[in-house]
Amino acid sequence: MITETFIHGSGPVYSLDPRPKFIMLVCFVVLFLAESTLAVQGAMLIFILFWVGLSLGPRRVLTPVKSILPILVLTALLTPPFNTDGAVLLEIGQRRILTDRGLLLTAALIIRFTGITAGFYLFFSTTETGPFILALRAFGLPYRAALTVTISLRYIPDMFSTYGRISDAHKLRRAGFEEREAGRRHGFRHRLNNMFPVLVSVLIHAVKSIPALAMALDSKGLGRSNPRTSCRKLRPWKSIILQLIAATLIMGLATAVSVLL
Amino acid sequence: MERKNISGRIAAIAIMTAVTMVFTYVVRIPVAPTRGYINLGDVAVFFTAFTFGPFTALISGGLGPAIADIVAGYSQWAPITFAAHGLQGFVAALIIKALSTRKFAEPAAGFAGMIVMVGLYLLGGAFMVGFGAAAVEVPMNILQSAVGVAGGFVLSRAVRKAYPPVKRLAW
Amino acid sequence: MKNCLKVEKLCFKYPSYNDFSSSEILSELSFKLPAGEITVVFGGAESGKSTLAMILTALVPLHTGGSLSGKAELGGINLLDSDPSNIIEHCGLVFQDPERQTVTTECFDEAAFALESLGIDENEIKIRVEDSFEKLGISCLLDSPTSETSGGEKKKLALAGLVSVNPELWILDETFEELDNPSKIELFEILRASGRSVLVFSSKYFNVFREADAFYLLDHGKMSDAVRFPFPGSFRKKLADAGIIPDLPEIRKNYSGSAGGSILIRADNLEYRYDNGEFRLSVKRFELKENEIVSIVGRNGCGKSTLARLLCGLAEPQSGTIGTPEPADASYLNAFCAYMFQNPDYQIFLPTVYEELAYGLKEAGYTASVIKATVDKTIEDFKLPEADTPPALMSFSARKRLQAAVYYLLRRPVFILDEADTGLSFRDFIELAVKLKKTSRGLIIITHNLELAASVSDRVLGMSGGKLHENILELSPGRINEWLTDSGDMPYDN
Ligand SMILES: Nc1ncnc2c1ncn2[C@@H]1O[C@H](COP(=O)(O)OP(=O)(O)OP(=O)(O)O)[C@@H](O)[C@H]1O
Ligand SMILES: Nc1ncnc2c1ncn2[C@@H]1O[C@H](COP(=O)(O)OP(=O)(O)OP(=O)(O)O)[C@@H](O)[C@H]1O
Ligand SMILES: [Mg+2]
Ligand SMILES: [Mg+2]
Repeated sequence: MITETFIHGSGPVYSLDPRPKFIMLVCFVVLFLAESTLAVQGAMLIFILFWVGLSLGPRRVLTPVKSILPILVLTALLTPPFNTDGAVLLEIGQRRILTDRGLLLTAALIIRFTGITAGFYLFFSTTETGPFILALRAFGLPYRAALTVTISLRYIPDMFSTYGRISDAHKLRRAGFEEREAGRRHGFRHRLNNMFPVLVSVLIHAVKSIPALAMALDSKGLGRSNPRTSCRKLRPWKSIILQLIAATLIMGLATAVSVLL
Repeated sequence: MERKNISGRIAAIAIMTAVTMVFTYVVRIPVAPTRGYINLGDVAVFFTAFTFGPFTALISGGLGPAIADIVAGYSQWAPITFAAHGLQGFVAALIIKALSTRKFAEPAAGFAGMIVMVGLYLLGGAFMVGFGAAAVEVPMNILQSAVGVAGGFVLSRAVRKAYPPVKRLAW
Repeated sequence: MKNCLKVEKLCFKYPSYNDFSSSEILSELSFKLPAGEITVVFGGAESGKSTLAMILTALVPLHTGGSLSGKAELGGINLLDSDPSNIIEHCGLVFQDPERQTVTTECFDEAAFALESLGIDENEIKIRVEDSFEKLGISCLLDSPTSETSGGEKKKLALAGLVSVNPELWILDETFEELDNPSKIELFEILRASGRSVLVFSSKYFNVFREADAFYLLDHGKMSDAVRFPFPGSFRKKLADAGIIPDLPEIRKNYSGSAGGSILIRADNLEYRYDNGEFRLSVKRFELKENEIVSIVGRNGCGKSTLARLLCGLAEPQSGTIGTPEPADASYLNAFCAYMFQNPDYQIFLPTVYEELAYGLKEAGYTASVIKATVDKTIEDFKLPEADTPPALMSFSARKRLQAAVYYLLRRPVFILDEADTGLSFRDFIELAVKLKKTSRGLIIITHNLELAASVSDRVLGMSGGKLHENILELSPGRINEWLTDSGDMPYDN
């Protein structure tokens, strides 16, 4: 499926229940965003990258970093000139370009963003969509909201192929006349002109499937007053008590260290 | 509608989420010769706002681009994207509702939506990557949003004409 | 006998919109359904079968709007005022288009959804779902995603949902379509064994129906008087007039084989398998000659649609060649061979009937007056609604005819009609095939109706387990009979 970010594999991060995993992800993001020392942030980053390497293979350690390289470069170039307190390290004319505080801040921003990125990457590579949504439900997401997300995930691949099929169909119905146009330049306007009817068609197709979907949901009893049962469940909380304790210890340690330092 | 049509609402939100995700993810228009694409996510967000009303726009407008972020490997942005695009659609739809028949309702709504989106990205970006790097995105976001308002407006008209029952789905 | 369903003076009209005015679909319609009986309601195109089915499950007018009056009672429950989700344990519906009924990604979840809504215990759900899959012969789909199923398998999946809930009244909207013959018989046995009241809507007469308890014809918004099998002469005549019973001599007259000569399209040593799943297609040789009509019949999931997708370049075979007759690439095949999907909604998507039909003509650069004349003629030829009707508001068969009309105007050398007879009466389908034949150089028809296939085509190829077999029409009578029971419907005799 196109929407699958899950990478098949095994290992401790995979067998971790999605609930403690999600708690840890949220804690890490909060800790990264909180003001703390460079050392603590660096330690957390290394901790996450270590698990990325262990669960997904050493080559994948660089994947999350690579995807954000351009924005890291921008951060490195643009942060120092806006933060010019402290001892000047570089000056052009009267303008302060780089100061020690600016440098520290830049490093902190880079580590913070890389850390958050790696955390999310690890989470979504090792957690399947179904359990992820079940975990959100365990943290209080209402059933109907979860169902909405599940259904939209079911329709995304559909909508992709609808888009492809409809633009193909438009092309096919034009087929044979393309030669006539071949002499013309396929400029921006031309492409926009071709795109518009495709977008209208996709939207019509989508919008008219709404009542049909609503009927389908009704015919399956959504919105009844009685409580629902559910065949797909996560393990009972009791059975993941050890995982929860371990997660709390790790996060507690990290929090304590960043508060104390 | 006498009855509260829960499945109708869920259906509308789910389908429009899928549409917004696909518009964000696959349809990209190259702009400047140097670099960069703008995506059509905003077109779908404003389309939803103009056609379906504030709540559908809030949820599907936020969720669609957020899922696109996750799938494209930028999941770290997903929470900010959810807020920025969701509120963009929500605010635009609320203004349309308030000004309904008045002239310039759509441009006003579009402008407000644009401010919300660009502002939230700047704020969120400043936390994540610093103010400087976040500011670089601003012009691109403004352009994308402007295309979104115009496109969303035209498409909403076209679809309401082609499928008149769509007005039953707004709330 | 106790009545299960009682419908009195039902009137219904869809809402009108700016450019689209609707007329009354049902007018003072009344009928009774005795408990535990199987009733079949026939009806021509756009007679309001699906509308009635959805009114009885309270889905219309809730989701479409419209004005409804009259009474419909099911064992003391007023169906018209109910919330649709609160009556699913009393009355369940299989949609005409099962794909529209699918809301989840896994087949198991799909069938379990309604049971979960009813609050049934998880272990019980598992047992019931597995049991219903078993009954319908689709146990192999228990772990499959819903997107990887064939047309007939989708129908059976929707049926499994209904079987596992087991409401008092079962409503099947053209559910016997797209099923192969053994599946039709099995389904009928399941209906009988359930002991429930069953209401079947159909636009065709199939032989399995002869065991049903009562028959109606829905026409001009009214229900005829109930009849039993064998049909009285007047009822039979009405069915024949509406094209619901095939008039085979008439069909044969319409079609005179003129095939022969050079090869139009050929395939050699095709091998194809999906990325996941067991299914494997392996076709040694297939050819279609100039001016020929070839039909392909076979059981659900045997690979008919897959072969069609290969022939028109929508899927790439792992090995083997397809040529016209020289080997051709996918994009060439795309333009050479027009594939009419099993589901029309994939191929019609413009705002109005007029725009659908005029699109290709505009691109071809015809003048406005020529376009208008051509479109008007096509609308008449294909019995389509008015030019400014939005396709989204048309009945299934009308959308199917529109799909055919669009393809008709494209003028491609080869058409593949994938179960194009679904939801159409016999007459409408034959007319459609004849028209497409006239503008093309060859036709491939995929169907579950061997009788129909034999009447309109030069050769009928059987397919099973991904393999293509010889021309069935040339087999010994005994073997033909085997294929008949397997993939065709018996000829109608009264
Ligand atoms: N949502 C809608 N709004 C307005 N008109 C509609 C709507 N749905 C269907 N109709 C119209 O109602 C009429 C009956 O449609 P319906 O689908 O009930 O017919 P049917 O007997 O099931 O036909 P088929 O054999 O093609 O399935 C058609 O003329 C159709 O155009
Ligand atoms: N996308 C897919 N991925 C994997 N398996 C598939 C996919 N689509 C279909 N199949 C399987 O391939 C087999 C052949 O499917 P196909 O659609 O060709 O059948 P068919 O002969 O057209 O059946 P029907 O008469 O029910 O339409 C079936 O067993 C089906 O389950
Ligand atoms: Mg119908
Ligand atoms: Mg098929």
